[in-house]
Amino acid sequence: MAKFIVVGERIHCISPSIKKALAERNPEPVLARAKAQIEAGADYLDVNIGPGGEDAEDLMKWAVTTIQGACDDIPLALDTANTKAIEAGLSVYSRKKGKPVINSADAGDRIGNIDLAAANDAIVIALCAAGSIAADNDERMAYCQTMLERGLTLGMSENDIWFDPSFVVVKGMQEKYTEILEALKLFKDMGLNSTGGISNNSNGAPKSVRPVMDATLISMAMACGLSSAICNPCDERVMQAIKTADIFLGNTLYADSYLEI
Amino acid sequence: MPELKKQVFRGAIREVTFGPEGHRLSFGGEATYPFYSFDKVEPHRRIVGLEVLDTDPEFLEKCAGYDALEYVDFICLHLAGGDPNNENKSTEELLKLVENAAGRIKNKPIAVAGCDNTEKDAELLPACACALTGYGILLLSAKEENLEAFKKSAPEVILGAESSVDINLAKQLDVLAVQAGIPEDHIVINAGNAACGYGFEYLVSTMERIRAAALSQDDKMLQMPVVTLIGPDSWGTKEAQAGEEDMPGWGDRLERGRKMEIMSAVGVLAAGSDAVIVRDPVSAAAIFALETKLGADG
Repeated sequence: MAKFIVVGERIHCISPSIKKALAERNPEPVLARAKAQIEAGADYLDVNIGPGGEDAEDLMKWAVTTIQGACDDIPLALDTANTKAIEAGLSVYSRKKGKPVINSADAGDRIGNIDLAAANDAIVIALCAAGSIAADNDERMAYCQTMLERGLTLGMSENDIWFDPSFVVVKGMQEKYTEILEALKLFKDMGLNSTGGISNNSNGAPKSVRPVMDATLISMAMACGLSSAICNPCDERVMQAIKTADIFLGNTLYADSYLEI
Repeated sequence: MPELKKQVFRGAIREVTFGPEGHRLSFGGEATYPFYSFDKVEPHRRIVGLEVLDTDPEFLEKCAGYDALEYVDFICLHLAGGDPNNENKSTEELLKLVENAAGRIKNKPIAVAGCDNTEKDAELLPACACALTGYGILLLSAKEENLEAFKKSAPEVILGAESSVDINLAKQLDVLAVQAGIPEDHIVINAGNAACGYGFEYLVSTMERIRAAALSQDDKMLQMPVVTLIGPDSWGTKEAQAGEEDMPGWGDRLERGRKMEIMSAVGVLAAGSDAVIVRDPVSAAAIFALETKLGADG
């Protein structure tokens, strides 16, 4: 199997400093986080501009050109509920280092983002949900099937649809996790790629506990077949877990200094 | 006929260049398994070097003679006599010899191989690099124990990182070399040596796994070209050593040694070595012919 793909989650409008920087078109805070994540081992960077206001299209264009221009065309995941803003981002995106990722489609109102990915030769994250999260794996896999068929019908490669089982928050939805891990095995058995916002699991947990939860979940999820994650590469424990799981899964070759590369 | 599906990898081997101005030699750069030119054209031929031992009474004459052979890409000065368990020649004595040899090699790049004693090599090889400044030499080889001593030779030389048939160590040495500040395109992998029939399968499988990880896993720390010194192991086997009076059925001794050397070299080339260093000109000619017929230019 290929090496695990890390999509850095730290450029997110939920962070006050990023929100302010985006609003002011101030590149420094955004680029500081971009560079820190790349240095820490991110393969892609997620760019979450939120739903965006009237200037969402202009903002996404600015974010894409600013980050790719300063970071050697690092591939990006364009993360917004605003489809026009994704289209605007795609129009200025540099493909030198990889296809853009559209974050995200689902099997409900946002299924059109699969069409958008197909029309633009992009990767799409396909959240196996429709509005609310899937009640069980029967429902989750039905959504998966719907989105897979749609993408294939439109001529996409199945490798370009990354299925997200939805890593729900443990506090309140702990009982969902056995099925979520099972879903990852089902994706893998179907030869499909998978991803998800792994850090969501530990939302609301104490700061000291979150890295342990995130790192453990990612190791378990990788063992079940998870092929990428939207996570915090600057969390050393998480990156150590990913690099070590890649060794045990045979995705990378061991060397004594493997944690340093 | 329908077009055959091509195997496309994300990773590629780095191109490495050595030798003096006017005689620069590039190798590596491929993005396919060895000789799979039907998948993608290989940018360079695999290259062949000819080894000259400092302990050979005709050392300097051979350097000059080999310099004229068109089927030899580079000359490797192998300073085996520096080994305290061999002739234990001093670094000063060997440096003089190396400088004299370099004066006779006008047309080809030079590689210098050490005496395989880690402590002596740590002193000898960086000194050779210093003495041959401007020649852009290939230096064989740094090991885990003495890598530190080679730092000062970079980036003047191309440095071999030798890992005695240990794939994890091969990667680790490259990581350490890069962390020590040696440019990635100044490092080659010396994955170890063996002769056919003497642990050879293990060497071959190690090389194959190195190449597979470099290409299919896009492992940057294994994307250095591989250089293999064939002579010492092949000519050290009983097949090459046994006298004709002892083994009358085995035929000409020199011929046997050449066969061991050619078979071993072809084996490692097929497993991913980008350069081989052989001891006999007849072997070099055979490898060159094979490469010309099957490889990038064929």
